[in-house]
Amino acid sequence: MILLRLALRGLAAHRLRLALTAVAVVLGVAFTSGTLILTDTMERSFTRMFEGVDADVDAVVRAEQAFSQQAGPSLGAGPGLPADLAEELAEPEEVEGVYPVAEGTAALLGPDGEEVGGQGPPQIGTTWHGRPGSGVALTAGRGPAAGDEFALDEGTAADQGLEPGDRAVLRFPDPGGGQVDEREMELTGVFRAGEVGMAAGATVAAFEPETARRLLLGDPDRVTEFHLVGDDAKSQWQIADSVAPVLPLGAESLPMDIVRDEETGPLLEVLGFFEVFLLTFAGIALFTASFLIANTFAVLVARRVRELALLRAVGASQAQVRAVVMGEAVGVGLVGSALGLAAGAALARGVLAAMGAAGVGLPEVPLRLTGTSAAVAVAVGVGVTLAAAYVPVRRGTRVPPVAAMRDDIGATTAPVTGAGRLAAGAAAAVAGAASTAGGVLLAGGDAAPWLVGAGAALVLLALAALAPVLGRPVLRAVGAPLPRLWGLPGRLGRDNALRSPRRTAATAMALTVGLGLVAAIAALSASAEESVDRRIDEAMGADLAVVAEGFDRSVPPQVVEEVDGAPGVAAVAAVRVGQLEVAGAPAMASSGDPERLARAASLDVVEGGGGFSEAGMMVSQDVADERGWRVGRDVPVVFPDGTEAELPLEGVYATGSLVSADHLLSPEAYTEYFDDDLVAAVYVSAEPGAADRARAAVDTALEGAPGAEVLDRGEMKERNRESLARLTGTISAMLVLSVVIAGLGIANTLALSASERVREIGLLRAVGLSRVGLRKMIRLEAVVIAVFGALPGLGVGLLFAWALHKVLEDEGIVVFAVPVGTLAALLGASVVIGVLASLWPAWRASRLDVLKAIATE
Amino acid sequence: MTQTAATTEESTGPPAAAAVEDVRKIYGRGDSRVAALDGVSLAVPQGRLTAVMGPSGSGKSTLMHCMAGLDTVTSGRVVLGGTDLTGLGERALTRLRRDRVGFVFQAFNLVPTLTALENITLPSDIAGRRPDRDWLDRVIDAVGLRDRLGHRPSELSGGQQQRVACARALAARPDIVFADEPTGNLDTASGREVLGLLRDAAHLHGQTTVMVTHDPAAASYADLVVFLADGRVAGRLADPDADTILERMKSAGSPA
Ligand SMILES: Nc1ncnc2c1ncn2[C@@H]1O[C@H](COP(=O)(O)OP(=O)(O)O)[C@@H](O)[C@H]1O
Ligand SMILES: [Mg+2]
Repeated sequence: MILLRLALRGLAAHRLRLALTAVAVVLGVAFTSGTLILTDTMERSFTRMFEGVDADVDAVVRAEQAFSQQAGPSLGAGPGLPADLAEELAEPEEVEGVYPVAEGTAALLGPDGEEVGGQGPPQIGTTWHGRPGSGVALTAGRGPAAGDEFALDEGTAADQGLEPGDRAVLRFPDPGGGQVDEREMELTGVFRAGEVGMAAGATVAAFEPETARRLLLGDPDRVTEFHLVGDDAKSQWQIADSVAPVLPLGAESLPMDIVRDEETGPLLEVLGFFEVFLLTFAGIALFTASFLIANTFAVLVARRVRELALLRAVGASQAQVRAVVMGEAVGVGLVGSALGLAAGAALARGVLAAMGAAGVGLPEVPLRLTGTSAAVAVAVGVGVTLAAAYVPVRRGTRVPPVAAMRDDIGATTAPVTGAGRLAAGAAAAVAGAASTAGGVLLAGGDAAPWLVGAGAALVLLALAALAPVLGRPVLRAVGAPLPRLWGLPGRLGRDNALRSPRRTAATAMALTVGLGLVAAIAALSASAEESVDRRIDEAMGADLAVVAEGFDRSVPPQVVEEVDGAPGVAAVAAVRVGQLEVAGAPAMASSGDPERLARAASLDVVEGGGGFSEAGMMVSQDVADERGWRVGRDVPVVFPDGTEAELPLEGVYATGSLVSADHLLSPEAYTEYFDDDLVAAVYVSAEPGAADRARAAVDTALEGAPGAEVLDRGEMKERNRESLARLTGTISAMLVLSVVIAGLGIANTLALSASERVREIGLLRAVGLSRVGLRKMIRLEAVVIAVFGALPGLGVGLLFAWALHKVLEDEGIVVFAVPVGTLAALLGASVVIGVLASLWPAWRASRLDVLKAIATE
Repeated sequence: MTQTAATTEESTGPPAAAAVEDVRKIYGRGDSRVAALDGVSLAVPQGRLTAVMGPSGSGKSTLMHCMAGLDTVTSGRVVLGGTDLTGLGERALTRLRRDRVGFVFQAFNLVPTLTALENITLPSDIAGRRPDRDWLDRVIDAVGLRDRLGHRPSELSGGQQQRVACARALAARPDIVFADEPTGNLDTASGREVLGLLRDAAHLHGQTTVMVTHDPAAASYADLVVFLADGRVAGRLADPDADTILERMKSAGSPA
């Protein structure tokens, strides 16, 4: 009881000193709980989005997938089913309704002629049935009934200001890779799908059944699947099973619940990855915060030796004294967690609002704060505070009771470093170096990136352990120019930073972690950029490449014919793609003429005759090595429609070509086995000196083929640079919070030091140091700490990036680039962080009453 | 007169509440070696106020800390109420301080975040004991702080703080109270109040008390004065007054 009271009173008495500590906990917990609340809410949104749509459907009949589709965009329309199957499906008495569904892509064009949504959220085209109970309800107008009519989802219609009776242009890319179709149609109705309607920027256009088959599948006699509505008294399984006898070969019938899970599964999986991604950075932020927490408690117990010793003298055991201070840590953790939870909810709401503003909003559902999220937030906040406070509190509460009475030993602090710390630091350093080296040596193995990651973490821990010992010379070097540049304040600032190496080191290490990771990402990104640049320079033999806009689209095949033989064009090489199963494993395959690809995309056939003599295939060196395949053998292959074939292996090609797939089919095999004609890229070489004419020819060809664009080498590099910059930007933004917390840590340390040195500061002021001088002294101390933290961070970051580059060399990161500019900017940023962090403590210290300060005990 | 003889002589008086026998306390080693106590033997009479005097650095505080179980001795024996402290571990010493010893220090006597009353009941609260309400009331009245009980130490004067400290030491009715220069930081009037309190506790309630001081006026409140010099007992005086003490200090002050 008295212990609790002491802890609470201690909290209240030191609330100012604990404020920044609590803020650090709040930030870390906010990140964590914000992530949990956000992903939980998004999960609910996703589920709600599907809720109620096709609510009456009991079973789905569809073409069996020959093999499980790989993650990523599904290519092609798939085999589908014959439309006239509907009659047989209606026969069993369990089945009350059969609804053929044709589904595909239908992009609405805005008034500016650009696709609405596009480049991300799906643009769904589907079949309108307009049956009651389907969960798809008209909110205005009527359903489409003729070939030039369509209905649109509520959200998109509102967004585009379309009303029934309006006309709009829709674009239908041929799923089989044919001509893109564009037509003006009349909007007859607006509907809402499900209870909350479509969201996340998706657009849904619906057509009368026959039109849907023609426009979306390009074949009036086929459908994507059938929806069966059955007898309510029967289970979904019973209804699905009832049609089994009439199913043709290659078709399957499944309960709706299973199909729905299949649809939501991948979405939820992506959400899971997203959550882990964010939590990783939340963890880094909390780790950074732990340095600050440890510092605060170290100072707090050091300042209170007398009080703690007094408790010991009047009969409190060491454990009881420790319990009092740890009780204060619990308090800080609880307050920080509670505020952090609230801030996390606000953060989640903010992110959802931002998504809405960016046009990819989800259906609005109330924020979802589960008991688990709340418990995790509190456990994390309190846990991190306790863990970080434990060591300094344990050390600090080992005061002998005599300390209560002795001036002489009251101020004694623990020795700067124990042999244990040195040994642990050295061990971590050796283990970290070994792990990193192991990762580099094992490059290409699955474990390599993990080894390097563990190595970097260990090296950081080793730095944290050793910094108080090894940091002195570095600190001295960093601070060396200060006295010359700023005179007395400079000298005092440097000396103050050196005064408590353990605290300075712990403060600086927080910054080391954040900046080190930013530096590593920057270096890795620069390396990737230069690697890709070099690859484009070395491997792109052609002058231009035509690629699809949007990752799930393909280049209209007529572009190939139109460009071939156009004025100024010397040669054209097209790469087609398809999914298939090779020797039992799903794979992506490219298809093209090896001789043309050799010139246009540096395809280097190292075994075999260099070309195809029949409907055969080639594989990359990697696959050939892994499987032990030699030219001349037959490779068993399964195609999406279930066709099995043995293709002769006619060649092996080296890696490093622009053709990145591991399997290359001959054009003959492609036309023979694939229904689709999916062109991934067209490489165009210009005649000497005719680059402009060739480009003009390609531009002309593309005018009639929307959805494709042409890039030269520079534009390709630029494109890659942009997407890398987006990735780097995202990751760096996630690390900003850690850096902010590290800055808070510097402010915290300065404020604590200043409050410890009230007398000394008063004395300095009394003997004539001006306020400006005092502020300068504190500012310079901050800068020394920040730079001391940044330097090893940049070093470790570079080392880590280099090791990862070694590990990823086979994946194409062949160059290691040091982003000198970025590193210099980071160093500069650390100075700015130091200056900013010093503002508040310096202001406070400079407002000290000189007389009172000197009188302070 | 040997010190052993002194102890024997003392034992003819009231029974000893505490005793030290040939205690040595060495700090540091080699060049920085200091013998803070160099063979001290002493018996503290039960129910009396004993003063320990001596020049600064003579080992007064060290002696008190060793007797109170705050510090351990290098050699010799310390006995407190029949218990030999020299063999006790840290836990037993903590319990002993909690249950059987009271302290008044020169300064920093009070936990700054607790009120006066909470400070007074701190030892029994830590021990998880209910304080004896009647006795607590009498102690509070004796120190004259009834109207200050809810105040924090920072809201009390130095003299009031020391009285709170005395009340804390007395409230738990320990076997023995140790006070290290309890008036060292006080003006004469406040000092007199505190000394009166300690003397009354001994005389009216039989509270055994050992008080360290270098002020003859303070020592004159004691029933017995023990003089220390260079870590050794340099003499003693029973029922002294300020003048005899001063006299004695002058003669003891000359180098041996
Ligand atoms: N913790 C310690 N470490 C080293 N020397 C000490 C320590 N405590 C006391 N001393 C030394 O022991 C001697 C006696 O000190 P102390 O008992 O405090 O004297 P007094 O209270 O009589 O002034 C002094 O010389 C002092 O310097
Ligand atoms: Mg003393």
